[in-house]
Parts: sequence; C-alpha cells; structure tokens
Amino acid sequence: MRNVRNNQAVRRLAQKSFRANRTRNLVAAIAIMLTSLLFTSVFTIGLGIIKDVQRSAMKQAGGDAHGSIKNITQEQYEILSRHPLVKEHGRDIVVADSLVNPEFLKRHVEMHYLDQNMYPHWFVNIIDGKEPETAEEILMDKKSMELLGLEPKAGCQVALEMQLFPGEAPVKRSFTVSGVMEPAEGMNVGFVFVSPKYLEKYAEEIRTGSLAPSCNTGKIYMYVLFANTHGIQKKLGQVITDSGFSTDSQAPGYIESNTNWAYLSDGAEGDPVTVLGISAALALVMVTGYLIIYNIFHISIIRDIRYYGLLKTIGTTGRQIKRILRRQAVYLCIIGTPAGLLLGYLAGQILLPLIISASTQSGSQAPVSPQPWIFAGATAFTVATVLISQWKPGRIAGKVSPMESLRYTDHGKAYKKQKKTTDGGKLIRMAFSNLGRSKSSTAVVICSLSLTVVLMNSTYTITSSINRETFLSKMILCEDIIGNAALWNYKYYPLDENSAAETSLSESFISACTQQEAFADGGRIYLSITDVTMPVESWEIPDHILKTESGAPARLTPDGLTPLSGYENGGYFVDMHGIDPFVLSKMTVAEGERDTDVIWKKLQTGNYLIYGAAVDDHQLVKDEEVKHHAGDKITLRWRDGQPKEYEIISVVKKHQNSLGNRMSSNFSYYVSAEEFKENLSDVYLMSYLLDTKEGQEDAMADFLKAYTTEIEPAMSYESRQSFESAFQEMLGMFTIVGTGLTAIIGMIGLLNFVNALLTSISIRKREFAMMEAIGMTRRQLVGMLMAEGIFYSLLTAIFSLAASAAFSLTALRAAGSGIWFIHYRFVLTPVLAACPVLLVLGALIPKAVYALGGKESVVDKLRE
Amino acid sequence: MEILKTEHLKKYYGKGETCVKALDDVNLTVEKGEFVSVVGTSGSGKSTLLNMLGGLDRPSSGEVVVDGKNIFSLKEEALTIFRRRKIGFVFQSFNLVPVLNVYENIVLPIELDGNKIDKSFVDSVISTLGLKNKIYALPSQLSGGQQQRVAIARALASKPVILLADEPTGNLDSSTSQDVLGLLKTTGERFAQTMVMITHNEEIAQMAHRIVRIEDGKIATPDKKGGCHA
Repeated sequence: MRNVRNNQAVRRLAQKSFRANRTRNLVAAIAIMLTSLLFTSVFTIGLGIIKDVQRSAMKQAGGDAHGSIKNITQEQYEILSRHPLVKEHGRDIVVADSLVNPEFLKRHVEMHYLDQNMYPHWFVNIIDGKEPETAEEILMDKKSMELLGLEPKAGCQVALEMQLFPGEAPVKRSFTVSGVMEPAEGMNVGFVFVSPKYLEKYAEEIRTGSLAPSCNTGKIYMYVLFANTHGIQKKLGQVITDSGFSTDSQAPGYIESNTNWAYLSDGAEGDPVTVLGISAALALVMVTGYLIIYNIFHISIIRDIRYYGLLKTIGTTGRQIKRILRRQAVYLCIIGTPAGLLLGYLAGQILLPLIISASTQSGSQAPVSPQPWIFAGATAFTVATVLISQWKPGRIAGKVSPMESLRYTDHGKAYKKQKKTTDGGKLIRMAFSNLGRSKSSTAVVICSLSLTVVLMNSTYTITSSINRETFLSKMILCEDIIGNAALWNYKYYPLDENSAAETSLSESFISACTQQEAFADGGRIYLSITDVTMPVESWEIPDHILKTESGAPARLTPDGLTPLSGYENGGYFVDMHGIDPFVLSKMTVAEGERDTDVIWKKLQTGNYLIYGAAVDDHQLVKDEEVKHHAGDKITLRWRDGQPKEYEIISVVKKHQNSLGNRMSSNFSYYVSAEEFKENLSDVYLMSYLLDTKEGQEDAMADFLKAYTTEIEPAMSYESRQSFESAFQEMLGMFTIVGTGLTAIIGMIGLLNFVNALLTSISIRKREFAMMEAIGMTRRQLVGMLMAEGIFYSLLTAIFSLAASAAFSLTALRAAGSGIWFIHYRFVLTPVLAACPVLLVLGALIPKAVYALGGKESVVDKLRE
Repeated sequence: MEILKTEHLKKYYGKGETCVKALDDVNLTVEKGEFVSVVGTSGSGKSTLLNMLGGLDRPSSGEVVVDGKNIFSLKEEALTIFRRRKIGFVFQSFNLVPVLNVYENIVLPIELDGNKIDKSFVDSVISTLGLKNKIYALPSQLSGGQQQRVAIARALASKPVILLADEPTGNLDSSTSQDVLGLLKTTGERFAQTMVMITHNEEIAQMAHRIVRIEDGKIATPDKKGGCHA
C-alpha cells in the first residue's frame, strides 16, 4: 500500500466536522464526562477498599516494611544494610524481655528501640509530645498509660519494671514520657519505645542479651523495604546470601528472614468478593457508557450520512473516514474526561469512608491519595469505552456508498415489506412507526433507560431484603449483655479460679442493673473451660468428624489438623456453662425437647444438659461439626470429682457472642446455674443477659455507659442499640451507593433519550416542515412527538419490568442467598413507581426539545 | 370567480443599502378552475410568491386573499388549519412521509383535519394518477415519478380550492416530467382544480392556461394567452 501523506487533510476534515457538530459534541462530552466520573469513582473506591484491607493486615502484621531479617547482630545489620537492593532499612531492638508491672497483666506491653525512620512504617502515630531523645525518655501508647492510671499526656513520669533476663529479678527504671502514641490497632499489645541514647547508655546489657540464646533482650530485627513489592522473599534471600550469609537453617551463618504477611496475598489481588464487585461495577459502567456513546456516534453518522457520502464521492476512503471519526472521538475524550476524573475522585472520596466503615474491615479511615493510577486506569477505561463505542458507527460511515447517501432522509432498510394498513396517518400510529425508523437507536435508548430502572430496583431489592432482625439477632440475643471488659477482648479464658476472679463479672454490677427502672428480666451465664473434661473413651467419634492420621478427632486450624484439646490427656476439655432460666428462654432449639419449661425442669434434676452446636452465618447448625444429638448420653468429670452421666435433652444453636465466651469451642454444654455452682464455684460468672422494659432501652444503655465508666471501669457491656446504628450505617451505605449509581446512570439514560430525540427532530426538520405545509399544526406535531416519547417510555417500562424481574430472580437472589443478613424478597415496586415518572418524562422531554429547535419558519426548514 | 388574489404583496429582506426586494408590489388574481404557471429565472422571486400564496411565509406588507379570506389575518395555528383545508402543495422534492405507505400519505392531510375521508373521491384520484396497485407501497419503494404522483394525489385528496406546485418536475427526467405534467393537467381538468405552478422551464409553462412572468420581484410582461389580470 502506498503511504500517502494525507494526515494533514484528515486532521483538517476531522476538525471541521467536529466544529459542525456542536450539539452532538456537547452531549457526547457530557456522556464521556459521566462515564469517566463513574470509572474514577469505581477505581477510587476499589483501590480504597484494597488499601484498607492491606492496611489493616499491615497493622496486624506490625507495619508496612516489605520484610524482616531476624535475630542478627549489629555487625551483620551493617553489612546487610549496604546491599544495593535495600532501599530503606531500620532496626527494631527488644530492650526488655518483658515488662512485669502488675497493671500490664491483662494487656501485655513490649519495650523496644525502633530506628525513628521506621516509625511511619510501623504506623506510629504520636498524638501528644515528641519522639524520645535522652536515655530517660520514652514514647508510650495511650492505653498503656491509662492502665498505669495516668493521664495520657507527655511529661508524665513512669516507673517500668523491666524483666531484662529470664529468671533474674526485674529492674525498676524511671522514665519521662516524651510522647504519647495511638495504641497499635488490631493488637491487644502495648508498646514502649526508647531513644538512641538509651541504646548507648545500656549498650552492655543489650550486648549481653543479644548473646543469650533464650532471651529476647538485645535481639535485633532488621526491617527492609525494597524498590517494589515483587518477589520479596527472593530478594531477602539474595540480600542475605550476597552479604556472605546463608538462608539454609543447617548451614553456618544462617540468618532467618520473613516476608511481611500483609504482602503475601499481594493485596492488589484483594479478596474475591471485592475483585468481583469491582469488576462488575466496571462492566456496568462500560455497558452504560457504550450504550450512550455508541448511540451518539451512530445517530450523528446517520444524520450526516449525506456528508460522508459526499466525502466518499470526492475520494475519501473508508479508512480515512474512520480515522476522521476516531479523531473526533479522541477530541471528545480530551474535553470530557478531565472533569469526570475530578468529579469522580471527589465522589469516590465521599463514598469511600461510608463503604469502609459499613463493611467489616478495620474501620480505620484511610483516605486514598490521588494515586496516579486511579486516573490512569479511569482514563484508559474511558478512552477504551469511547473507542469501542465509535468503532461500529465508524464502520458504517466508512462503508457508506456515495449514491445511498444522496437520499433525503434515512429510510431504514430500503425494500421492506409493504405496509398493509390504511390508518397509519393517525398521529399515534405515525408516532409508533417513527420509533421503528432507527430500530437500533430506539433499542439502545430503551436499554439505556431500562438499565437505570433495573439498577434502582436492584438497590431497593437489596435494601429491603436486608433483614434487621436477622442482623441484630446474629449480633446479640437480648437487649444488653454485661460482663468483664475481658470478655470483649477475648480474654475470658479462666484457667483456674484465680484467673476467673480477674476476668469475671461482678455481682455488684448485676444488682445495680436489676435495680434500674428500665430492667425487665435477666439471667447469668457461668463458664468454665478447663475444669470439666469428657473422658476420651466415653465419646464415640461420629464419622463426619475430622481425624488425624493417628485417628485422634481433630479440627482444621491454620496449622493443619489439630487434635481436639485434652485428647492427649485422656479427657477432652469442654466449655461448661451454667445458666439461669432467662438464658434458656433466649436459646433456639435445633433438635430435641423444645418446651423450655420441660427443659428447665429436667436441667434442675442435674441429670440432663443442653448441647450447644456451632452455627454458620445463616444460623444453620454446622452438621460437619456436630458432636452429639438429642438423647445421647455423655460422661463428664467435674474437676477432680467422679465421672457423671448426663443425657442431652436438646441441641441448641450456640450464639457465639451471647451464649459463650466469643471463642469457638469443641464441646459446649449448658447445665442449670445451681448444678454448675454445686460442682464448681460461682467465681466463673462470665456474663449477664438482660432485657429492658419496652421503650426504655436508651435509659438502660445510658446507665450502663455511666456505670462502666464511673463506678466499675473494669466492667463493660454490649447493647442492641449499638448494633442498631451499625445496621443503619450498612443500610445507608447500600442506599447511598445504589442511589448515587442510579442517579448517574439515570442521567446518562436521560441524556441518551434527549440526544436521540434531539437528533431525530433535527433530521426530520424538513419532514416536519412539509407536514406543516400540508396542514399539520404545531400542536399536532408536538402531540405526535409526545406520543413518540410516551411510546419510548412504555417500551422502557415493559422492558425494564421484564429485565428487573429476571435480574432479581436470578442474580440478586443468588447473591442474596450468600449473605446471611439478606432474606431475598422479590420486589418490583420501584419499577412500578418509575413508570409514571417515565411517562411524564417521555411526554415532556420531546415537547421541551421541540420547543428548543422549532423556532425556524417552515420556509427556512423546507429550504435546507 | 376569483379564488386567489394578492394585493400589493411585498417581501423585503434586510434594510437600506442591502435591502433585497424579493417581491415588490405584486398584484395577481387567479380565477376558479384556472391553471396558471409562474415563470422566472432563479432568484426572480417566484418561489417567494408561491410560499406567500400558500401561507408558508408572511409578507412584509400586502394581502393574500384565498377563497375570500385574507390568510395573513389568521394566527399561525389557524393558518395551518386553513391551509390543510383550502390549499394543496406539490413540492419539487416529493416530500412524502417515509414511514407511511402511499395511501396513508395521500389521506394524511384529511386525517390531520380529523375529517371523514371521501373514499370514492380519493379512489378516483388514485386511479386517475395510476397508483391503484401501489397503495400499500412505501415511498422508498417508488420511483421519482411515482412519488411525485403520490404527492399530487395527496394535494388533491382534500379537495383544496387551490393547488400550488413548486417546480413539480424539477427532480424528474424529461419523459417522466411529461407524464407527470400530463397527469397534473388532466386531473386538474377532471376535478376542475385551480392550480398555480412555478417553473423555470418555458416549455412546461406552456401547458398552463396562462403564464405569469416574474422578474426582480415584479410581474413583468402580460402573457400571450389570456392577458394580465393584474
């Protein structure tokens, strides 16, 4: 093929054609802007969610450094840090094996030296004061200070009891708190950081510690950041071996290294739900964008078909015409995209916190900075959508035959069947026939409008399918639960009566509650997890229970198959609960006796118990974990007593948060509180469930809040009210996201409609003028156009009704069944509600559009 | 009997130096049953005259009286209704509605008026114009001559008091032109239809009873056949 230098001509033609199409350009630029707005929001939100997941993983992993090299000496550190792959590095040195202040018994506090360039990587957030400088200054987290009974302010004096070496007496040292930081998120551990001066001052003891094998003091951890996150483990290995050490644990000079597990899943891959959600959103936006941009180009080409025919006649090739169009598409992208990027980013920033706080992630607010690749991605998707959209219209324009294009309007297919009617002149019939003139454009407009309605209906279906009762009852079975704060920190784990006493609920709190006006009824739960065992030989292991190779019953844990605890000692540990009748009344029986009065009477005999079976998110008993059935007889041994046989009267669904210590257990049994106290002790008081009088929920919640902050700060509570707001927040998130998306896609749909009408009117200008000449009044003309609009609406209504129903019954129902708090409901109310709106719009938009363009006189229009 | 009369009809575009006098004091009378052709070069003002006669365009001054009614005293809407009852148009570019078939196109003005269709009259117009076996065809399935015949049928179907034709054969080849004009004339005579036709073709103009020549917006020479009634 000859390479003709015709770029100049093509460019000039593209520019001229572009300028001649002002209305189309405006509509197209708005459409492209809205499309890129949607893309940018999706990218901002998607990236935000991924970042949030990654960030919360990093917070739990202790930082965002790519990897760590463990247990090295200062000399090794210096050699390793010189490696060219290492972009940034820092030391973390443990300066005390542990802190043994009694206040830190419940919440472990670690004492480290951390190079200050690592502070940001550890998410150290100083809320008061500054980094430590002198050897006597420390940085301490807020919660640890509060545990010491101090105001969390810089300048406080603290005395820390430091266990430097195991087995030696702790050393007491006084420090000044130079700065207070936020406690580490996601970890129930406190931190104290010392200054570089401290290292110098106590160099000797740190050196000693670093040489002692079984002592944390003095151990240097090196945190490493590379240029990027690809192949972290490989790079760590390379750094170690290049520096003359080994990664082989048997070899001399072995150095252990680890990739930060927050990077193991690579983050960007995200979890499948997020990825699926983002892909679905991107696909939706692409379809929406395609529907309108395709239609705009298609319509404009049909309108200007004579022009393209003319270009053909004078020798423009099809390929050149396609290039002219592509060029125009690119101009439109340049005009439309920037505003969309900006608005989309802003919209994303507004929506992101809502979505994150409503989803179950960390709840931290991590605003997404204007990452270049959000914009790059959104731009790429927008341009791709535009280019795909203009491809087919471009082909049509390129294929135009010079002859065909000299006709006076679009006839549709030239030789269709004859039309055997005689009443086509009736306005309504004529209007209907007009819809069929450009069937593809009509279909696209109807799809575009229907998309909005389907989306709106889906949003409503989801929000109305979210079941408040299911959501709340999964969280809490009664109005309020009170207990020791330890319960909510997953620390109600009494190994003996002493540790039970530290973490149990106080009777004084219960009596304070029962004295409240708002109090209606309540009941205690006692729990012991180590005092009761079930002799291994007394339980016949059902077939569905997993077993290790040696045949021990096991459960799957992150470490693999782990035998049920106590198996090795000949008796499984069981979670034994003692309950009051109120608690029984809150239980849901899955199997066996259902009458609570009967159950309670039997429990009181001391020969019966209830088995609590684990349930899944949908509150269905996990069959694969069921250990017993109603009627089974089991043997239990209370502490040091004799084995005693019980019959299981009922199997209940075990509500982890309300009926247990919030941790999973292998065997959960419930006996009456009397039976429990008789065999063990009343120190194992874990929690108290209570209900309030109708309408006094707030009064009780206020009392609980005041009591647990002022009178017994060690106690805590959880109330249905607090989940109510979480529920509303989640509902609000769905509503806002759904409404926002509906609004923008609705705008695109309407724009498509307006554009279709506008061009249809401008194409038919001459025809209208002729009709006026032969006696059609303007009112009749407007009437006909309105009828056309109403036909659009009717078709949209019918189509969206069918599509909404189909989408709802298939995709939404399937998606809903996977989410425990959604009870799928089939609703079409929004579609029905949208119908009158559609009809009004269908009637009014043509009228308005005609009013915009109908001012020219008949003669002017005929002359064109 | 006078069916159409213009009095001091003027249409000026622009003002002062650049003023263009498209029509300058035109006085024209057309009798019932008469077939008048208006000839003139392009730019002479003949199309402007026809647009004024049909009430499509408003004059700068002067009157057009059709069937005893000064049409420019009517409001836009009323004028359109008057037009569809009293005036039939035939355009150079046939101007049929593409989504309607032949029959529907022909009766469109009657239906727009909400009137009952005079079936036998419409049928006789259709057969006179030789469209009988084409009534269900769509405009895109017709030749140019056929389309123009449909346009003529449409103009006649509502029994207008006057039929205005603007270069009705301008888009047709010469033999088709002859056919169409022949049909126009015979149907006109058969239905005693008053007609005003615009053309720049002297030969075609000769078919009329009377020729009105227009030059620079003014009626020029009285014609040979019947003299100038102006």
